[in-house]
Amino acid sequence: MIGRSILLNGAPYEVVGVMPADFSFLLKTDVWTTLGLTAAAASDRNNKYLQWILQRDVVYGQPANARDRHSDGLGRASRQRIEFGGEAGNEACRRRCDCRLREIPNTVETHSLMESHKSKGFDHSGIQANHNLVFPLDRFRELVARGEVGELNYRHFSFMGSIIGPRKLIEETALRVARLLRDDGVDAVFLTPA
Amino acid sequence: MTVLQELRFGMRMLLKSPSFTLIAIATLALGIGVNTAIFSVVNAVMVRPLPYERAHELTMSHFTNARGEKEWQISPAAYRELQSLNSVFTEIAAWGNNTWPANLTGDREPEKLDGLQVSGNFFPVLGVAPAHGRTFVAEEDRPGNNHVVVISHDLWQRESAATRE
Repeated sequence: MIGRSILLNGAPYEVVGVMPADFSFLLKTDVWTTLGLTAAAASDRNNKYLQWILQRDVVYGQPANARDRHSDGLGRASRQRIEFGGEAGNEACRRRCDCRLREIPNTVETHSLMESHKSKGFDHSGIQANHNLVFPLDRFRELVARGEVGELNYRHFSFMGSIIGPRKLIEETALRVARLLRDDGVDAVFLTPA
Repeated sequence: MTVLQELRFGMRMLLKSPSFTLIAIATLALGIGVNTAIFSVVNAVMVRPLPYERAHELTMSHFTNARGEKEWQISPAAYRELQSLNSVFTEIAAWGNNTWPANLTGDREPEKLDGLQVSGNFFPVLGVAPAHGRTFVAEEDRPGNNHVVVISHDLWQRESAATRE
């Protein structure tokens, strides 16, 4: 069935996916297609016929059985985004902000990391071209190689940006990270803003 | 007096006053039925989480017009502006408020389908993956590239059966 063409309203449509039997959204639906808004339709201000839903942290073209968000489904190299599962912020905090912390192992290759902060409020091109701008792990490895830094911790931490309700981040997550770093025997911490 | 004797005595008393028994049973049935129905609705709408991955991150929002009325529908232009001005959420997905009447024809019995037009990021925003194949990619949400569909499990089964015939 996948890849087959079916005739809908007299026009051929390629079937690209089949939803699970238990999937439903508001009304009974047999078939979904894209809005495919033309330039004229997209500039229409008079007809209000769209409903909208918000979410953060998503990837396009999710393939079957790819609930693992480390794959973006576009055939690009799998990207690593390590979340700190059990240590994630509580439910109430997540609704106002993503105050979770991600643990990144020191052995990670920086090009395999994914920037999950999708805000359109700033230019991401520099970060996407070189992750060392916000996570300068390769630079620190060079400093270690030159003997200017003794050694790096076996893990590093990252946080989400644009946090509009930072209380939990300040009162819980930051303290937790501080304790973890203390337990790791870290002498100095390098903080980089996005 | 044993429990069995108690039960027998109770049954005899109920049979002795059939009208009272009927009213009591009907009252109990009605009460239990109504409670079950209300709980089913409350459970589905308010208690049970939405059947989507990371449902807690989904938010539906609305505008309030000059008359103080909530407006859940927006124009395509407003949707585009929300997308370009958004700096808080990663994605804003949209879908047509009206169903998309899709008549399925071809080498089979014609069938009227219930369709929905959605933005290319609709399924990823819900956090649902297809059972087979894939969902839409961003390029397929542009005119000329949008003759692609994701179908329901029911339609897939009907189509598979029709193909076998």
